[in-house]
Parts: sequence; C-alpha cells; structure tokens
Amino acid sequence: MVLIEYEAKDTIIHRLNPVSKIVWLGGLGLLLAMYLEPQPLIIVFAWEVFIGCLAGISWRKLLSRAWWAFVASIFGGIIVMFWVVNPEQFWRVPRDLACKTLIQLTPPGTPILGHTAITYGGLIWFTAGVLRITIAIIAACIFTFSVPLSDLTSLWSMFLPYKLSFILTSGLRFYPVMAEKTQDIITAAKSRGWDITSKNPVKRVKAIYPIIFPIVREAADLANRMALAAEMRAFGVKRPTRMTTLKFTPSDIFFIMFNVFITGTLVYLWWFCGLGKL
Amino acid sequence: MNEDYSIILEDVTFTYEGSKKPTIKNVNLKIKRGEIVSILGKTGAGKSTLIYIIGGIIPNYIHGDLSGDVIIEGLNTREYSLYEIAQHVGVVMDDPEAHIVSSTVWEDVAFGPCNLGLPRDEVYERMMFALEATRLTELKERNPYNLSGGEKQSLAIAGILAMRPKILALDEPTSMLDPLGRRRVYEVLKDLNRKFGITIILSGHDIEVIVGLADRIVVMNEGELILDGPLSKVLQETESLKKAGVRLPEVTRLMALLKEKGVWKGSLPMTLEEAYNYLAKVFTRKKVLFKPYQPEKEKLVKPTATEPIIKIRRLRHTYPNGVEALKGIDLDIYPGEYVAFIGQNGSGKTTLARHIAGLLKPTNKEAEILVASLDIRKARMREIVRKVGYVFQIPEHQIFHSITREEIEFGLKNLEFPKNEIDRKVNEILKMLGLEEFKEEWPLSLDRGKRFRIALGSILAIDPEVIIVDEPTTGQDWRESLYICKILKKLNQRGKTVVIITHEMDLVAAFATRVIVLCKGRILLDGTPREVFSKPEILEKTWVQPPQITRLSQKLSKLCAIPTMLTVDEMYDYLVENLKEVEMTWF
Repeated sequence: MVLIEYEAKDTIIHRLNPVSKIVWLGGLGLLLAMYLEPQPLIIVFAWEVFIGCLAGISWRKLLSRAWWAFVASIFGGIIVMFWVVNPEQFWRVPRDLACKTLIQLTPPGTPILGHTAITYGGLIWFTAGVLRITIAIIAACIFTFSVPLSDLTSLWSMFLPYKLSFILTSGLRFYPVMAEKTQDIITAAKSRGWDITSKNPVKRVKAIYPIIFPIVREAADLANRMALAAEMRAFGVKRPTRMTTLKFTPSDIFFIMFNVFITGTLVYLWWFCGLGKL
Repeated sequence: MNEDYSIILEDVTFTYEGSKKPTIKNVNLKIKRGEIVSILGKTGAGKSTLIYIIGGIIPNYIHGDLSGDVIIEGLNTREYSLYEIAQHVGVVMDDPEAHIVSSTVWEDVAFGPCNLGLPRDEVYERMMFALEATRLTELKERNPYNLSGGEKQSLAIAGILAMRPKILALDEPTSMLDPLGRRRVYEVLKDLNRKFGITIILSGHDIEVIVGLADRIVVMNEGELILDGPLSKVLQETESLKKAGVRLPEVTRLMALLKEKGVWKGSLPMTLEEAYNYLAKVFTRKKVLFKPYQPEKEKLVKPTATEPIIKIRRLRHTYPNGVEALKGIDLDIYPGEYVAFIGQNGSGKTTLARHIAGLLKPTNKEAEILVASLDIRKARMREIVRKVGYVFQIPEHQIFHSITREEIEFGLKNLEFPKNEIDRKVNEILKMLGLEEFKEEWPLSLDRGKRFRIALGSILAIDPEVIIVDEPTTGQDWRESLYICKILKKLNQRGKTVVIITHEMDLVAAFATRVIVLCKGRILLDGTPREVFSKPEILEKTWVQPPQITRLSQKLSKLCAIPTMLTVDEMYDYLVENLKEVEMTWF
C-alpha cells in the first residue's frame, strides 16, 4: 500500500540504490520486532526522521495521508494495553511496578474479558507499540517516496520474471489512483444521503454494499484500460531495455555500513544488556 | 494509387460481441499520408469504434464480427498483432490517465521503446524526440499524476509517439480538458503534422475546436459515413450536419440562418475572421445605423428575494497537499438564479461548489456557509442533501445500481421516504428526463448522455432547493448538453436555484442569468453574462474566451454601434431587425 507516491528529487536518499534502502528497512524491521521499550525506539525514530528530512519528504503530506494509520495504531494500542496486567509479561522492568494498577477496568475472573486494567507496564507497552507502528509507517513512506517504481521493477526483476515484477509495481501505482476514485464515489454517494453512521453493524455492512459495485467496476475498468495501454506499447513482446542500472556508489556502501553498525550495536545491547526488553 | 494512402478501409462493418446491430456499417475510407482528418458525429455514431478499428484494437483486443478490409500502412490489421500495428498507428484514448504506466514522465515515454528491446541509445533518442515534440522536456522528472489535464494528454501522445508511428488516432482527445488544455493538445498535434508529417485522425463533436487544425472532415451518423471532404465544403451541408448532431461554429450558424432568410447568398464562413470580413464589408458599404438595444433577459435577473438562498462569508480552503484553493470567498446567491461558475481548471470552481453542497469543509474557522438558512458547516449530510443536490462530472461515479429505476430511488430510500412517495417521484423524474423507456435497463449499457440524465434524475428526485451540476457537457455531444441545460432552465423557471460549472461559454451565454468567474481561488468577475463577457481583457487572465458570437459582435462594435451579443439567435434577430430597411441582398 503506497501512502506517499514517489517524487523525483535530487537528494542523497533518492540517489541511493534501492538495495541500500531495503537493508535499512530490514534493520529497522529487526529492531522493531525486538524492542519493546520506548526509550531505544525513540533513538530509532530520531534516526528515521533524520533520513526523512534528508529525503525531503513532506511531513505535512505524510500526516494528511497516514493519519488514519496513526489513529488506528493508538486505538489498537489502547485496546491491547488493557490486558497488560500479567507480571510474566515483564522481564527487566520490576514486575511489581509494571503491574501496579492505576485504574481497574474489570476484576480478575470477569467472564470473556478477564482481568483488564491500566497499569504502568501497560502504558509503557502502549507507548512502545504506537512508536513501533509509527516508525514502520514512516519508513514505508520514505521508501516509496524515494524509490521510483521503475527501480522497484528492476529490483524485483532480478528475482522475478519481468511481467510479474511489472504487475507488482503496477499494483502499487494502482492504489493512489483507486483511492482517489473511491473517495469520489463515496462523495457522490454522500450527496444522495448515503452514510454509514448507523450503530447497527448489520446496517453498516448493508450500507457499504452500494458503493462496492462502482468501486469494483472502476477498478476493473482502469485495469482493463491500463492493460490495453501497455499492450499498445508492446508490453511483454521482448525482454525490455533497462534504462537505469542499479549501481552501488560509495554513499551506498557508507549508508549500508552505518546502518549495519547501528542495527548491530542495538542488537548487541538487546542481547547482552537487555536494552529494549520490558 | 493505394501507395499514397496511410489508411484504407474497404466496406468495413463491425458488430460488437453480444450486440445484434452493427456499430459501423459499410465504411469506405481512404486517408492520405500527412492528412489531418477529423471524425465528427454525435455520441454513439461510431467514432470511437472507427478509431479502434484503425488502431487495430479491433479485432486484436476488442472482439466482435469484423467484415471488410482494414489496411494500415500496407498491413491488414487482421494478420498482425496489436504491438506490430502499434508501431504504425498509435491510439490515444480519451482518458489520458489510462495511458500512465510509470512514476516519472520520462519513464512513461520510454516504456514503449524499452518494451521493443531497442538499444538504450535509441530508446533515449526516441524518448527525447517525443518529449520535445510534445513540449514535455522540462517536466520529464515529474510524476505524471501531478501534471495538468492538457499535460497528461500530451504525455499520452508522447508515450505513443515514442513508438514512432506514422499515424496518430485520437479518440476525443480534448473531451476532458479545459480551453487551455485543448489549445495545448491541438498545438502539439499541429506541430507533429507539420514538422514530421504524421497522419492524424481525431474524433470529436464540435467543428469550432478543429477549425484551423483538420484538413478534412468525416461525419458519421448511426455507424455510416454521411459526409467526407474539406472543412469548407462540409460546412455548407448544414442540414446533414444538424442531422448528425454536429455543432457548427457559432458564426457559421449565424450566417446559415441569414442564408435561410435569403439575406446572405455567399458561402458560409468557418472562422470568426471570415465572418467578420463578410459583415464588416456590408456594414461599411451600406452605412447601417444600429438601433439602441435593451435585451429582455437582463430585465429578469434582478433578484426578487431579499434574503440570499446561499450566503458565503470568508470562505477559505487549503487542501492537505498545501494548495490554497479558495482564498476568502464572499458570495450571495439569490433564489431563482441560474448561476454559472467559470474559470480555468484549478481556479476553485469545484471546491467552492462542493462547499455549498457540504462535501468539503472550510479550513478556516471564521468561514460561514448558509444554504436556505441551514448552517452547512454544522449540518448533517442527510439535512444538506434535502437543500442542495450535487451532480458530479463523471456520472459513472454516481451510478450504484443495475436498474435505472433503482438508481433514481437510491437517494429517496437513503432519506427514508415512504414507498408511495418514492414511486410517484421516480415516475415523475423518469418522464421529465425522457428515461421512461429505459427504466428497467442497466444504466451503464446506455450512452453517456443518458447516464448523465440518470445521475441528474437521482438528485432531482430528492427535490433540493439548490441544484449544482458539475460540467454537464463533459464527453457529451451538443444535443445532449443542450437537453440537460434546457431541463435545468425549466427547473430554474419553477423556482429552483441552479449552479453550473462549465467551460462551454455558449451555454453560459444562452442559459445563465449570472456568471461568476473564479481565478486562483478568488472571484475575479461577477455579473450578468453580458457584463462579464464585455470584459474580455479581464477574462483572458483566466484563459476564458467569450462565445464566438460575442467576440464577433465585439469586433464589429469597433466599426459600428453594434452591442455585445450573447447568442446566435439574439444576433440574428438584431441583424434582421436593423437591416430590414437596408437592401436585403447584400452582395
């Protein structure tokens, strides 16, 4: 899913080989999977913001496109937080402190819900969870913002047949176009009194039905037209000429080494010093 | 000699799969190398199908029953694959976004040559040629989706051009564009033809826009070629053109009316300059004294209500990408007005209209929007739609059901109207919009004009006090555009307030009682059509040109006391009235 489309800019990040950026993303993914404590995640977050600034990303645009993902992560984080009440969920943080109840929601033994409460540990868990999702979203945005689809096609075509890699990149390109068309369709439906504000879930599902039809139709129509446009331009006839060659420059080597160093250090600290563990 | 021809169609008939009636019937057409041919006709005449046949899309991609021979640069399209034909003839579709396959302009242009596996140098050379020919060199690093409509269409042409075709076939290439976009595309096509000798075939509805571009006109009606020849010759066949639903240039229509009356005996002019020269000669030779003119229309437009139905104060809107679309709008619209919002794409017309309909919210706190005393900022959508109906530019976005009747019921059901009320209203709307015979049909199987009527009907069924119609003429032929404007006029006469957003100035002149010109998020001009069109030098700032007949009267006013005219009928009546004492036969 592309929240921010590629924008051609002459920044140091744009000039990097996509493989370097994938190495960065991989390292980031590893750290996000390991780190459950907010403090070291803030360092990762700061590093990511620095890269975003180097890439010249528009933070305003990012916020306007991805706000719902941030809101969803906060909402999800709050829900999960209520169940962080068990001392066995903590290793490094003193268990007494972590499980100290601030607000009791449901007492232990409550049917279905079980024991829920807001605890210190829960708040730490929540903060770290929101940070991890935020970091992941921003990283994906920086990647799609600074890597042209043609580079992705070239990259994928190293491992996949050209046709398949083109289809994958077209799928990515399809998203913003369809998102815009979907918004148009929803607006058109609203102008005829359509809404999904009903609290009844059955009514909500039924209300969605009429807009699904034009969205699917638009998607099929767009896909069909794109396929025709590609076929008219000899798509799939021969092995295509590559206009760009993915080269490694000294900046790439430096970037990769620096990222490996940071990731390696943080993994070492996690493994041997318990940094980032709760 | 057949070698002189790029395109030869011999007795071509085509029937789409699943259809009983042929869309193209016994078409014989030969097009010489380097010609610019325009195919004209109303919606459903078979223009697009003919373009697809020439481009080899039929029968290679779209299937059906094709008989006769289609020879493109010596190749029979039946015997070659689409990509082989594409190297001789490039097809540009009406929706330029359908052509975009890459994330930068240059990659998009290079896509075709890359697919042919050409050496990198040749791909680069072709790409640069196409970019230069379509004036996109400076935009080559841009994301295609961030280009303007005219630039996107130029990109679609560039992508095809890089395949080095000898023929370009364009299906209504400017139907979605504003006047500036249209001009850009036509200039590019002219350049391509003049500099590189590329044969160009383009379909459309209007002659006015292709005057000065096409060498030859082919007119289609119900799948058949009914006229074929140079523009000056075809224009004289006014009856056949009328039958085929082709809109003539306004000056030609005026002179045709004068010819019918027996006042004019010469040939019909194609351009404003020709008409001016004809009339200027008469006026100076006969020393005509023009009487003062007080048009009746203007007397009616003064608002009778003291309270506006739409009241907007301090409205600003900035989109999330930072574009400031509205920069402080103050506006009052009175009940019973027929208002046209005009201006270039991006001037803020649609943004303003969507605020009135509650589909967008102002981005400043101090803004005020009241429609029929309802505070749009705070009201729920269900309340707003009872006051304001908004018809979208693309009717397909507003079609949700598989039967016309259900489509019109949609809004009424959402608003929980009683069943008998729904039935009554739906029948009334179907009758009013001439859709009764299509009530059980699938809306998308109907032509674009009918689809637009369905979308309009679905809004009218709710019976709002204000009706906003966004670009009612996009992709429509002249008759259908006129039909929709007449329906809106009828509703306006019944007391509804109508707001239209359009680029068609002749419709604005003929129907609107008030014109609001927007430019860069501000109101540039506000007045009756005559007042607004009397200021062409201000209109130029937003690339809006008054109707051709208005420009003719303004040009003539430098010679004699002729006032600013808005429509062909008005000018005709005025000329006949003033010239009746002069010798009727001018030459």
